[in-house]
Order: sequence, then C-alpha cells, then structure tokens
Amino acid sequence: MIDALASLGQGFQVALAPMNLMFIFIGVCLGQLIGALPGLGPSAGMALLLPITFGIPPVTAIMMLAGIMYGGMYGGTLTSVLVNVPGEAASVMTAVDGHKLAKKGRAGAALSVSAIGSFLAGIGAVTALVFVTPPLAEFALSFSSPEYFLLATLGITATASIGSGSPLKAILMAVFGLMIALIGTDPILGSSRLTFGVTELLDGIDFLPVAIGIFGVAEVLASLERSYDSEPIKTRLRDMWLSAKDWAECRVAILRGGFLGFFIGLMPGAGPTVASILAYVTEKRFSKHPERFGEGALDGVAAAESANNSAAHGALIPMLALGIPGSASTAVLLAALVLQGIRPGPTLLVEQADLVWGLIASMFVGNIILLILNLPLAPVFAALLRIPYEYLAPGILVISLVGAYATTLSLFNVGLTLFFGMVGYLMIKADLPRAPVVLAVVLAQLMESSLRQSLMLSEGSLVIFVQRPLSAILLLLVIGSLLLPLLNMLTRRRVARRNRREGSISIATK
Amino acid sequence: MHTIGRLSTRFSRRLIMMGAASATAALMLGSQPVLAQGKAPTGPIEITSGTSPGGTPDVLMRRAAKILNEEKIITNPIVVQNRTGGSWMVAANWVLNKKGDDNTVLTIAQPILTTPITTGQPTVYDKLTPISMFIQGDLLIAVQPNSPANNLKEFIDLAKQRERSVKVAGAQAGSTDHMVTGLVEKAGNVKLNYVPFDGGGAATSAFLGGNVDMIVLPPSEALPLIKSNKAKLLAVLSENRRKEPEFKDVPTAKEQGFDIVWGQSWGLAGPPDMDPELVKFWDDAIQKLVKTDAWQAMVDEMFLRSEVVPASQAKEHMAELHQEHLALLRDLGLAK
Amino acid sequence: MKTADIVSAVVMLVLSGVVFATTRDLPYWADFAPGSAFAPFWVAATGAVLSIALLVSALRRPAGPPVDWPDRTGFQRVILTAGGLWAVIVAAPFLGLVATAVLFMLFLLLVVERRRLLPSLFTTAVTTALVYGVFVAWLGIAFPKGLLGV
Repeated sequence: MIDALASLGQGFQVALAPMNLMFIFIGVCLGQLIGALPGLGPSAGMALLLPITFGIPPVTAIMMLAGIMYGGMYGGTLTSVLVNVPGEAASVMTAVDGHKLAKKGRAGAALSVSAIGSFLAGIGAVTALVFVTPPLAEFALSFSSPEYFLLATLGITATASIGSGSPLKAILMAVFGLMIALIGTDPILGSSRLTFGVTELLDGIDFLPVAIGIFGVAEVLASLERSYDSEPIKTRLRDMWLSAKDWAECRVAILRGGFLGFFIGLMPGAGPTVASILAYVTEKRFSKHPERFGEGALDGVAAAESANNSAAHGALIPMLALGIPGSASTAVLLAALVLQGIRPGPTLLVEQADLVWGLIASMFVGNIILLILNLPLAPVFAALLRIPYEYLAPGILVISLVGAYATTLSLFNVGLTLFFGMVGYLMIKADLPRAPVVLAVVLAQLMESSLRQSLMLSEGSLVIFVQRPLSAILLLLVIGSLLLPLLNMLTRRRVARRNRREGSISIATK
Repeated sequence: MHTIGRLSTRFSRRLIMMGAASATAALMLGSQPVLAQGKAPTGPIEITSGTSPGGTPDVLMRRAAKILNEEKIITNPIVVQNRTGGSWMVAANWVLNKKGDDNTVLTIAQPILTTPITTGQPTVYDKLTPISMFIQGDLLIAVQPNSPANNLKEFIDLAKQRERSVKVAGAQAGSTDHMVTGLVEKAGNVKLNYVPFDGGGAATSAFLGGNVDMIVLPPSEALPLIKSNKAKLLAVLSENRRKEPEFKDVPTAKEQGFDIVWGQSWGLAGPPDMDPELVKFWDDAIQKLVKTDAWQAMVDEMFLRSEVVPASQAKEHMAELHQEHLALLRDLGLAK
Repeated sequence: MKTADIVSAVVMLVLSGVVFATTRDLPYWADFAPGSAFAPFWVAATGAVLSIALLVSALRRPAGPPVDWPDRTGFQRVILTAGGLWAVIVAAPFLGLVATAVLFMLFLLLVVERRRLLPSLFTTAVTTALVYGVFVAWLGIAFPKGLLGV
C-alpha cells in the first residue's frame, strides 16, 4: 500500500514534467476529437499517430497514446448525443438515449452527466489500477470462454426489453443483427458463410458501418422528409445543466456503470463496447422508470458512459500486468511499446516501473483535464444544435461517409454504410427498433465463438458452464433475466384478469 | 502474424486501420506520372500492408521504411498504408491492380499464401512480382509450467494416452498456430484438441488462465512468460537452436527426433510485370537495408532473423512456400 | 402499420431462408462442438418462427394507421439524397473523394433543400476544411484522388 503510494508519487513526478504534461494535454484533446468523429475510434486514431511517437521518449509516447484512448471515450459522447451518429463503438448506447434527450432540449444535461460519469468512473478505475493490479490481473484470467458466452447471452437476452415497442419486433431485429454478424469467415472452422464470393466480406462486416448507417444516415434521411423549415431544438439555459434531481437520479447509475464497466474491461475478451451495452441493460433493470429507456433516460446515458470509460481503464490491467490486450486500444498501446523496444509481458511491472507508474499518474491528470474541458463546454457543444438542421444534415452525411472510408481505406465500407443507412430508414418507417440490430452485431461473434470454444475445452460436456464458479453465477443471472420478464408478464396478466372480473362484477351489480 | 500481430488479430475486425503519412506525401501519392525509365521510382512510395497497424508485418515494414529513409538508401518518402480486409486479399488486390505503377509494393506475409488456399480463390503470389523475402521468425512450443512433459517426446506420449485430450490454444483456423499444431499431430501421429481463439492475445490469456495445455509462441512473446515462470518451452521449430542465452538451451524439434520445421517469413513484392530495373532497385535497397546496424539491432531486439532471399530466387522460394502451405492445409482439411 | 409489419415479416422470413439455404452444406457439428452451420441454423430457425409470429399477429389485427410516408416533396427529397449518396461512391474514384463530397453538399443544400447560396457555400467550406484538415493533413489518410489530383 505504502509502496504503491510511493511509486505513484514518483509517477506523478514523471507525469507532471512540463513536456509530459503537454503531451498528455495533446493526447486527450486528440482523443476528444477522434472520438467525436464518426468512423474513426480511439484505437484507429492511436494507430494512425503511432509514427509520430517514434521520436519521443517511451513514457511520453505511451502517456499521449493512452490519452487518446480515454479521451476518445469522452469525445464519442458528443456526436452520439448531438446528431445520433456514434462517434466510436462504445458510445452506441448513448446514441440511443442521448439523442432522444437532445431532441427534448436536454443535450447539455446529457453531455454534462456523461462527462461527470466518465470522470468519476475513470478516476475510480485508475485508483484500482494503483492498488490492486496484480490480483485483478489474475482474476481477469479466470474469465474464459464459458464466462464470455454467458455474458454475451446476458446481453442478447436483454435486447427484447430494449426500446418501447413490441418485444417480438425487438427480438426479430436482434436476429437480423445476428444474421449480419454471421457474414464472413467462421473463425473456428475457417469456412466462409454468407459471403457470396465477395472478398471484402471475408473478414465479416464491421460494426461501425452498421452503426453509422442505421443510426446516423437513417436519422438524417428521415429528417429530410419535412419540406418545411425545421425549428432548431430550443434549449433553455436552465436545461443546459444538471439539476439536483438529475444528479440524484444518476448518482447510483454512475456507480453501478463504473463498477460493471471496470470488471468487464478487465476481461481480455470483452472491451468497452460490450461494457457499455451491459451497463445500459443492467441499469434498465435497476431503474425506477425503465419505460424511459430508449426514450431518453439520463441515467441510461450516465451508466453507459461511465462504463465505457472505466472499461477503457480496466483493460489496462491485463495489458500492464500480463501483456494481454483487453481492447482494440490496448492492442495498439502494446504495439507502441514494442515499437519503442519495450517488451510487454508479466515482467513489465517490475522492469519498467517508471513507465507503468508514470502512465498511471498521467491518467489521473488526463481525466482531470478532460473534465475541465468537457463540463464547462457541454452547453457550448449543445448550442451547436441551434444551427438549422438543414445546414447540419449535409455535413453529418459527408463526415460519416469520409469516416467510413477512413476505417479501411475502401469505398466498399462507404457502400456498406449507405446500405445500412437505407435499411435503417426503412426500419424507421416500418416502426422497427434499431438498437437491437447494432447490439446483436457487437455480441454475436463473442457469443458463437465462446460457446464453441467452451465445448471444445470441455470435450463436449455442458458441465463446464456450472463447474466453474464464475460461470455458474453468470448462468444463474442468465436464467434469472429470462424468467423475470416472464414472471412479470404472468402476474400482470393475473392482475389484469382479476381487474376485468371485478369490473364485470361491478357492472352486473349496477 | 505473430508477436503483436497475434495479439491484435482478434481485434483486427474492429481495430480499424490505415497507415500514416505526412500531408504532403498523401497529397502527392497517386498523382505521380508513370515514368518507368531510369532505375528508381519518383515521388512517394506506398508499402501496402494487410494488417492493422501494430501487427508484426506492419511493425517490420514501418521500421524498414524508417531505416531506408534515414540511411538515405531510398530518398523517396515511404508510406505504409494498411488496407485491411479479406484476410490480406484487399491489400493484395490493391497491388494486383497497380500494374505499371512504380510507387506501390506489397508486404508479403503468410495470408497471401494461405487465404487463397482456404477460400478457394485463385492464387495471388504467382501474379505478383516477388522482390525478396528478408525477415524470418522462429516459433516455439510451450506448455504449462507444471506440465508432466519436459520434452517433445514426453508431450507426444501424453497426447497418445487419449485422443484429443491435450488442448492447444491458438488463433483462427488456418493460422500459423493451427498449422504448427497440424505438424505436431503428423510428426507424433497423435490427435490434439486445437481450440481457435479470436487471435493470439485471447489464446495467450486462455493459456495463462490454465485452460489449455499447449501454445505456439514466437520468442519475443515467450521470453516474458518463461522469465515469470508462466510457461515451459519444449522445442524450437527451426533448423538450428537460437543463440540468445535465454533460448540456447531449448532444443530443436529435429534434435528430439521430430521433423517439425516451421516458421514465418515476410518480404516484399511488386505489382504484376514490374519493370526488372525497379525490381533491381528494390533488391539492392533491401540488401543495403539488412546490412545496417539499425536493422540488425531491431532484428535482435525482436528475436527475428534476417536472411535475404534475393529477387533472383524469390519466385522459386515463394512457389516452394506455397506448396508447403498447400500440403499442410490439405492435411488439416482446410484447403478448398 | 399492418402492411409494414407484414412486409417486415416477409423480408425476415426470406432472409432466414437465405441464411439456412446458403449454410446448409456446412457441418452442423464438428468433434466436440457446434460446427459452422450450427449458429446459422438456429438464427434462421428463430428468425423464421418470429417472422411467422409477427405475420400472424399482423394479419389478425385490424388495419391500424398506415405507414407515415412523407408527402410528395418530402419523398422526393429523400430519394434525391439517397441517390446523391450513392452517386458519391460512383464518382469518387474519378473526381476524388473530397471533390465529390463538395459537389454532394452543394447538391443537397442548393437543389434538394433549396437553401440560400451564401450560407450553403459557407457550410460547404467549413465542412470541407474540417474533413481535409483532420483526415488528410493531420491523419494522413490517402483518399481516392481524381483527375484534378485532389
């Protein structure tokens, strides 16, 4: 404990050196911008900027790159809330509820609560990093395929409850998402599925073109229908900030989201996107007003945004302690270490103590900078919505397309984005929920591969799901989450029947 | 695909990517007039890579590009562009369509050979103009530190006790790990239980979590694991032992009576029908590159080898590699 | 919404059929674990069952409010925008991505939305500057370049 604090103190000396401080600042600002642009996520941004880090000392380089990583988590919120285009993958749930809030003139509140949630969750996660990295890394290893399978199942079964419409349609749309995810090469046996001979489809369809298309492009198309001038969203000044009531509502959500996100981030197989989805659906279960989820729930946004930031930090634990990347971004961080001639692995904590502690300290500093950047600016960003939508729409479309191109340098990806944009537009017209599609695309591969890996590991025995303590707990959660709505429905029906009977009796006695 | 490549393959679908260049380089690229006369390309050069940044081939080419420029072996700005998708086929097709372009070359890595085989597409390697293969990576077989097996023979005996009882973690079907497992099965006449994970990182964590018995590692990744006593090395799959103190006691599979020699290699190829003068330009540049101190230092640091197969032999070498991969993938039932 | 539900159900039913048909020849089970066709089979089966359920419930229901299609002008705007977007993909390899994007924005602002000239030019300039500054100048992404070299 004392050792950790002493090392952290040394880390702060490194992180607060003027040059390092400057690079942390540059890193988090870049992250904020890259996160906000649709298409390019933080991992892509970090990778693009790798060559710049050749010339600077390793510690400084890693601090800057990590800044992009968590800065992206703050930035992704912006475009999700303001224009319903997820700036990066982990902000997808924010696009669902955050944008609804923005339409109600509450963009400022959504942005502030995201900034505060991200900050608190980030600081909490870094504190955990200081004290319990080695034991947590060991804990992370106790997660393997059976746990991932159940975790993904937990997420998928929650799709039915997402959105306000009919659960039947929600599940059907989740199935549509699963179909999209099936496209590509089967990772276990190597056979091509549903690729129809198209080379570009061999690696499967990435989640981003689907999300940008189905949310962003579709939303713009739908809004263009109105031939009269649209009224800019009116925001009253007092709606810009969080009210005491909002804060009371979101406090616990941030706590829950932060914790959940951190643990999911720890697991090398999950990452921030899965974390924010699971935090969102969990929050819905705990929320006092689950009906608001999907229609603009501030606590949903708070939970999802806190979760993705703490997951981004949590993923550093297996990376630093074991050399295993828990997310796309940490994979790039590892690459950066290698390029700097530093070998990641279980010995890193000892051999590169200065680097590790400097990095940890830099994340305290970086999160503070991001809070200072985001909180006062939330109303300013929200004010962007005062620009008439007719002028925003073309810009949103062009930036979405360019972002889609930049992800793989191919027009094929742009075509996919447009295709899913058209699909999303028709879905709006047919009153089909769009969130389950995107959710299923994220979780499907994890679910299928880990089921098959589990059975391969157990030589075909299903006992593996109850034998392992963690998976047994998760299994109970899955069963619970399946039975609970069923139970609810039954009691509701019984109550309804009783009411009806009483109603008919009262008519009869009249 | 190893080292960080192994770590990041599982993310490659999501880890979106492209290379980085200076603004001017990006601006000028492609607007170059096609002037094939003379020995050197004019204007910026693109090295096309099919992995996300951070994958081993990407790291190697970025280092190579940097050294080539710094040592003034090639003065044109060199840009590595990551055209991901289709298991390298998007990158390969990009260069295949660049016939007559002097400024584009392709990074050659294993998927250039294996993807056409496993997907039943026409071969690619013979349509490109091979320049040279100049980086080789060795592979090691590692088991859990508490494994009863202390050498390859004991390991094979262990596997013989019950079919498919010994579990191996590796990357996707058809990956290097999978092929090595196939070779072990063949050499030892055993059946192993190969469990493909979503890339090297996931496989390593499954191994560290004690879920599997064996894993295939490049030396750079094996080193931290043996240092922290999280793995035990049984064999190196090269012709000769490695010379570093950490690995000099690891016997080759051949020494132990199992004819398993497999490794990875990377190199460069040009578009179809590349001007022989240009091939010579690149061939000379690579020869100079591998002699630089900076390159040697990098090769040592990453525990690789750098033995140049020059342009004159590259074509034959590639064909040989193709046949080896084809035969192995057929054995594994993955060839279409 | 009745017609919309019927159409959605039929589309999903067809998709389920496609998934089932194209993965039929793959192994359903391999050694210890499900094979390549396992997931597609169950996805297709679930899809089929759910689409039929949706179809039946839609057919049994009296016709509700119709789909909220836009009026003629609104419809025209959507079609023109969608067409314009696809045209970007077709034209980008010849004109360059940035140039095409500029043309698309002007088309959308001036032709489809009928905005005033000056603010439209301004919006286009700001967006182009942002795209160019961030993606090309700073991140160094190689966009398709047209005959003009931009």
